[in-house]
Amino acid sequence: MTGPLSVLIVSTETPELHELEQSLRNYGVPHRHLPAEGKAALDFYFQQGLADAMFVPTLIMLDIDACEPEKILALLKPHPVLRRIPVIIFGHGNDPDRVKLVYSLGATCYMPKPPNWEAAMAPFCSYWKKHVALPAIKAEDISSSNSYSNLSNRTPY
Amino acid sequence: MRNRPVIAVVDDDEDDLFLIQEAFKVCLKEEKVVIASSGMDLLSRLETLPILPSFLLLDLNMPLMSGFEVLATLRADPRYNLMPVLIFSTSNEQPDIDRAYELGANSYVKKPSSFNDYKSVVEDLCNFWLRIASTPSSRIYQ
Repeated sequence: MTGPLSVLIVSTETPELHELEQSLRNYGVPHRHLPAEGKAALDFYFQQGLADAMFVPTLIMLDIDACEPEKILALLKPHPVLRRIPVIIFGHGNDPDRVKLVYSLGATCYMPKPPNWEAAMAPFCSYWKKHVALPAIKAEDISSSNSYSNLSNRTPY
Repeated sequence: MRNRPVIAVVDDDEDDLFLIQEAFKVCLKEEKVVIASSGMDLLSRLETLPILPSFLLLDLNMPLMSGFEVLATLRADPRYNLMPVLIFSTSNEQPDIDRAYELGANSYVKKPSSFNDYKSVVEDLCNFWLRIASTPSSRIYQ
């Protein structure tokens, strides 16, 4: 039994975010929004390795136009448990260098912001909900992982 | 001259390869499907391709070189480390799923048992990886 799809979105408050959230609601996908402008909240959430978080995602969506994905991925990817979480980076445009950068950071994929979120999220949710086996991310595994203390001591985001 | 986009598949099971190819015929437009029957076969075929595949469907349980070994090899090779690798396996074992993500798989797709389910899976993964997501090779033909 794999974990159900639950999405954490890191972005700023924009109409696009509301469209994305509404689409996820329409397709029955649990999700949370972490404001990209709330540096303290981001620090707390990621530097604590999600161990104390009430919501542990099985998929993360980072808005590259609103946050610095390389800093978040630098916290997630060295961690023995959190590195399993697929990270989709989305943003305006389809610049080849940006696409290459995203994959080189270890993200799952780059997704250009669609003109119509509702239409784009239909195939998105069909794929990730119906066909993809997701990692098991348990808060207790995160807490007990050996590198948890090392993670907490990393350079602040 | 523009290169046709490529999708790569590696699986040692002939029946599974047949089903995958038939399912791709239903949903692909211009993409070429490159088939390999083992990890070593895949690595040699990749050498001959003019562009990076848009994605690779990778079976896990294969003799000589397992899917995990193929994945680790690809991730250690700067020529292929950006290529999306989708594990395509019948294994529902959580340790296999977790290990695949730890090794850098881009997703883990459950291999179906019937042809109708194959068509559904292949259609959805093509819709996502070829039309919603952008991949490093897609810049060549978009």
